[in-house]
Amino acid sequence: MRFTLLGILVLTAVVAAAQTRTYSGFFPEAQLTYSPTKKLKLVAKVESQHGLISQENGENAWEYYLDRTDFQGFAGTSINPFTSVAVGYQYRWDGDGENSHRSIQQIGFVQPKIGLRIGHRIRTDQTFLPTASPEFRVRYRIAFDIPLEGQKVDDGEYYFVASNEAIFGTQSGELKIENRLVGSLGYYFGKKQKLEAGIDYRTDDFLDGGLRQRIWLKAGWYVNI
Amino acid sequence: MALRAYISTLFCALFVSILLAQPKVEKEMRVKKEAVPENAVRWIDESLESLPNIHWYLEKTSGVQSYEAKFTKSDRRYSVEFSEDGSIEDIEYIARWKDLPKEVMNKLDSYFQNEYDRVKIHKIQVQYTGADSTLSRALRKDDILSLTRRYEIEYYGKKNREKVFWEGLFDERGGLIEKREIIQRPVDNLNY
Repeated sequence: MRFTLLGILVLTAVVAAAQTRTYSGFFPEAQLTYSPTKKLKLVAKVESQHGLISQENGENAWEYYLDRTDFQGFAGTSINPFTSVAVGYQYRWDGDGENSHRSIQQIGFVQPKIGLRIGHRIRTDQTFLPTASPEFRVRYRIAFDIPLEGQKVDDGEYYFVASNEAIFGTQSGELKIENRLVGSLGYYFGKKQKLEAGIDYRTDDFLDGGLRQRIWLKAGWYVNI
Repeated sequence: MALRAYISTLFCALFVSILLAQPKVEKEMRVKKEAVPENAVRWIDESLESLPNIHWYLEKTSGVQSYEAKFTKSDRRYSVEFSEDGSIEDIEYIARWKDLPKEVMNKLDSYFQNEYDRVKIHKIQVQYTGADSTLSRALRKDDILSLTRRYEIEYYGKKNREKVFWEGLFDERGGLIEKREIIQRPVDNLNY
């Protein structure tokens, strides 16, 4: 199953590379989770997209640009061992100067299965921009967390995470659809930290007649204190 | 200059200590058949007439090492555990609720009803222990009901405001022996 998922991801990326309007780059992120009480969870996250290659109308251009840097903060609680809810805020430092504010609400479910975990996340967000109308979105993400050594991930072991997220948004009455497919190899140091590295493949502008694709080389560091 | 070197060293030491300070309590890793004690491999070979696809694992729990053979036979997912020297310890398989004996089902049902407002069972593992030859014969003939058995059940239990994911060990009649809370691996990468 893990090789099938990886195969689909690679194949999709290859097909995508043959299309027009493709942007690629590096996407580091770091996340700090702190639980001051058993019920309350606070999360701080920074993620940044750095563009390196642009392909428009079949022409490649190599140029570094800072696409965006997002600063996020969440406060959440668990309803039961498998379900949690959170609200959050994001400040986006945009490469084009269109810095924005975003409010976020989400509910997450985790299903422990034999040999894998399945995570579901439903999120709504509202983005407030300086020179455009607010954007409202509904998102659903499914994620598969698969151990690569044994039937569960123990300290000092590798794992694979694959996820897909469908995003539906509206801005000034215009409908927007985006999809995010991610495949990463993770290393679990222990309950306090893990590293993940992989490919984040995003497609949008489905309804505008010109599909845009973004392929990010992603690296994430997750710390729990 | 010395101060800068000191601060750099301090940061490096802090970073390295964060990376290395994770105690390894339990670890299961896939191993090749050749790395498993010979008597354990022989036991499996002799107990299973037609050999299914067997995966071998090395398990380390708080410094104690053991080996596990995992395979599917007659639509059952088995796990046979051996000690470090290759002696058979127990046979486990994953069962469904409806596969349990009626008497056990009733006892478990009444335990769950008395203890919790709501229960959801996630996984049932039936454990069999017994003499080496008895275990081997039972596995060969799929006749493991004649052995001493226990039930390891992972379940979610809600009682008033307490909502906990439990692993309970029950005896062959379905009576509780012990239970412990299952602490799940952080899900921050799945939720955020």
